[in-house]
Amino acid sequence: MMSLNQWKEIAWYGIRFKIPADWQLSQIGIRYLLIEDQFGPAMEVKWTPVKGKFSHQAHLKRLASLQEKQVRKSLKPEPVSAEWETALTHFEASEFSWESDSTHGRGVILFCPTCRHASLIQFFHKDPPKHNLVASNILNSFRDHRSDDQVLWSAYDIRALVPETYELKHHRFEAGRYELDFADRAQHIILYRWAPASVLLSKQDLVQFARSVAGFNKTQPVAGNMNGCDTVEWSVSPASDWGRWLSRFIGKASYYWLGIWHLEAKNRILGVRAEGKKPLDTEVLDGICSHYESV
Amino acid sequence: MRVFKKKPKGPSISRAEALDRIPVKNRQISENRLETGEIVIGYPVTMRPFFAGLAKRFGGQEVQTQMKKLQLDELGTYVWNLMDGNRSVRQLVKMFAETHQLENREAEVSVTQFVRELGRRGLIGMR
Repeated sequence: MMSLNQWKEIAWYGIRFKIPADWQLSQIGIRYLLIEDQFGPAMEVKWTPVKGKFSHQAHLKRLASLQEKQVRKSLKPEPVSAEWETALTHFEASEFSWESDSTHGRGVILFCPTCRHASLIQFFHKDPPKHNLVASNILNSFRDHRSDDQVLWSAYDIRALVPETYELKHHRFEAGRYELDFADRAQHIILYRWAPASVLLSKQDLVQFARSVAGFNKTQPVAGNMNGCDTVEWSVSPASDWGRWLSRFIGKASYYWLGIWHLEAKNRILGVRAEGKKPLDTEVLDGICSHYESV
Repeated sequence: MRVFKKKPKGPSISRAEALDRIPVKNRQISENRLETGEIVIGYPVTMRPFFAGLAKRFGGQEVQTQMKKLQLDELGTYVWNLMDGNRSVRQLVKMFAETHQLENREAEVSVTQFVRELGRRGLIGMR
């Protein structure tokens, strides 16, 4: 059996779980993840907050009719198996099996009475005995809330902890550049990851790179070093009392901050950008920067 | 009879099959290495009849092909140099990921996009 060290953590929109290291995120949506192994789709997760009463039976019935219409899958409720039951002690769970023309699998509908989130997890079985073990471990690691008002975000090679008041507005995972944009009312915090740093910094230094990322005109970026990493910090804010007063009535942000640092050993550049109409909360920014890492 | 008939799709191959293909460089291209180490590829492009007609009218000669140039960046040059007619796309991805410490998926997206672009311009063929 694979040890849990060879597993990686996925955390997205409040949920988190571990998957085998050789599985990969294939599709990321708002409260939707599709994960592939080397042969194709291996697992699918959907989740949503629930208002009012939650009925497993009604949702299974609805799911069965939807899947039959849309993807010609037949779905059958099953009693929760012993190994999955022990893995899912935090949830109210109902299990089902499904079958289509080309493949078959098992899944669960989970409801968490604490945070009132419902989750649908489906496994695509190609190699049932091994997959059952893997599926049990994944379910055992599955959580849908934290108790510290923070939300963990972990996808591909980035990992960040962001206060739950910040909602993900958009995300972009392009080869070489990742971007997660969070907003709490008018204040935005954007996390960046660039790679490979050796190529990006081959013809320019980190300050020049910062200039290419953020063209703040009024001030100059400040280079530094923290814990052995080259850093650049750059901030802009209204200089006068009049400017500060006026900034409340201007549509766009007046306060900007950019911090980027070069992780030489990992060949990555990480960055955090904040912008808002009011002075930026340095405590929140410090917290985000200290937990933002490349894994 | 259906008026708006769907175009039949060409034969599609799976991701695994695509990764096992071997890119082979076009023999008609020329390579020029710059001082920076980056490569400029020269390749012939067949002119469209309309533009060939214009060229003939104003230039006086009949021009059927035109030479175009494509300058590769550092990453493109690295992948181009790896293409030796024996390595598959999967091997290119693996080497690219290892050299630049990238995740396999990210390297795969970069390399396959680059290979597709080279193929679109007729600089490589797939074996």
